[in-house]
Amino acid sequence: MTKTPSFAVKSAFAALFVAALIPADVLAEGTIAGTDIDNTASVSYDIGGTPVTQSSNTVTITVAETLNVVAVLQSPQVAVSPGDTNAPLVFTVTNTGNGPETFTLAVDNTDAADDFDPVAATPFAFFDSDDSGDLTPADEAYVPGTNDPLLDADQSVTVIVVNDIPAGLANGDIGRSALTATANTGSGTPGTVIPGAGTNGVDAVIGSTGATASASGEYIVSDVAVAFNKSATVSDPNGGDQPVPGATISYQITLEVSGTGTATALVVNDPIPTNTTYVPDSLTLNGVALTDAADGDVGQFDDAGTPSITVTLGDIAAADGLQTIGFEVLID
Amino acid sequence: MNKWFTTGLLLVAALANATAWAQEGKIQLQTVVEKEQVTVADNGDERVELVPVEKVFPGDVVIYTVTYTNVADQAVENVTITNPISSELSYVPESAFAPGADVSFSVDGGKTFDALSNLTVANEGAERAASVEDLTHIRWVLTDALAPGSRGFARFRARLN
Repeated sequence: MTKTPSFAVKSAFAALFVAALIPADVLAEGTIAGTDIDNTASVSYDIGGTPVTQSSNTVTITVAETLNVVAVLQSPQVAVSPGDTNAPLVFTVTNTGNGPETFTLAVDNTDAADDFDPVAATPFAFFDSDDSGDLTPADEAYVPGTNDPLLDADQSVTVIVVNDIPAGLANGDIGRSALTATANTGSGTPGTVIPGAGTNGVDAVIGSTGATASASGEYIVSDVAVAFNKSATVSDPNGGDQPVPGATISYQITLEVSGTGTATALVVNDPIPTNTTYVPDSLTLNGVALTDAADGDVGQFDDAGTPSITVTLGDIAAADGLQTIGFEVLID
Repeated sequence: MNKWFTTGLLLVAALANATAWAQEGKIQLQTVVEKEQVTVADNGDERVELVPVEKVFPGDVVIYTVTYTNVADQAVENVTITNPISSELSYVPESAFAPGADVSFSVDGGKTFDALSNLTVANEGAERAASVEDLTHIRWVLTDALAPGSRGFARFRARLN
């Protein structure tokens, strides 16, 4: 005999948080552009028994500006569902040159090797204004040419790129989105000198990074499905399988997660059928007994109102395999 | 070919300009800062020259040359040349060069000098061996008196941090 399942399954996708943003270990190339370095030698000697000290002329070298930038992805692979909007990817952009520089940000979603192209949202990027590491209403939208980030040497900015996910994608499909940061003063072939374009009018030269940097983040379509089934076996007092008063019904609920995601906060609740009585201490999960009390284990029998059993499974992924809940009732 | 001696022409040019030094005394002392520039001749030979430098980028190596000339009519003794090493610069190991002089270094702003291998700096309550980044001054002490009209030079390389 199979009954229609009457218990509730709650599932939600894992919320993705980037808990700790660890800045990449990138440092600017040293001495700040525009610094003047003076050098004056001195000489001391004795002449005719008299000590003398003199100084030389002073020579000065001025530190010119190198234009360098590094972009680093901070997000792990982001699980999405088809049709999601404003799916965030977190990046840091660091000025690894030796002077203050303004950078233009752009997003490229046309990676040819992935399964789908995310669609840049409008606006396509935000600054993490509140340092939350996540997209929040407080974050300032990026508008190219209007609020291009000005970064001092060694300074970083956290950029949250947001994309919409197309509909009609298959589970496991991967889509990539790349953020590019480019120095406004100039970019291109390393070593190219831009006369007078640096801090305090010093020359700027395009550094080893070409004064442009990209980093790519990844979305994965992670639908999750929970399949469950309930079956019952009757044992009557006469050794048969007739549902007569005094017979025991053993219920078995199976639950299995498929897909690439995780079903979170799964709770199974099943009312005890009318005209039956729960058999105390008969609740099991995967063959292991659970106590009836609301205590440290995940199972509970609640006699208040409509009697029911509850098993709190928590977060279950496909890798966790089949979950089997059992309990017994007596027919009144 | 010793690349240090490819600058003879520049040195002569500097000496010819001696009146511009405006340094009173019995020794004329001139500092120049240069960098190496490699040029490739038509036959493929590489030639390393020292050229004047005004603008530098982090990582660049510059070469300081101090030229001294005894312009007195008698010998001068105990000639000691001291050059600061700016905090933005790191001395390039083994690059100090001065014929007929003993080289030593300071990590305390020029108060005391010793061989680099003997110098230490305080490090979290202990002492550690000094590194090239710790050096504040370089000093050359001439081993002999400098006769009238004699001249020489002292030189070192440093890398911009």
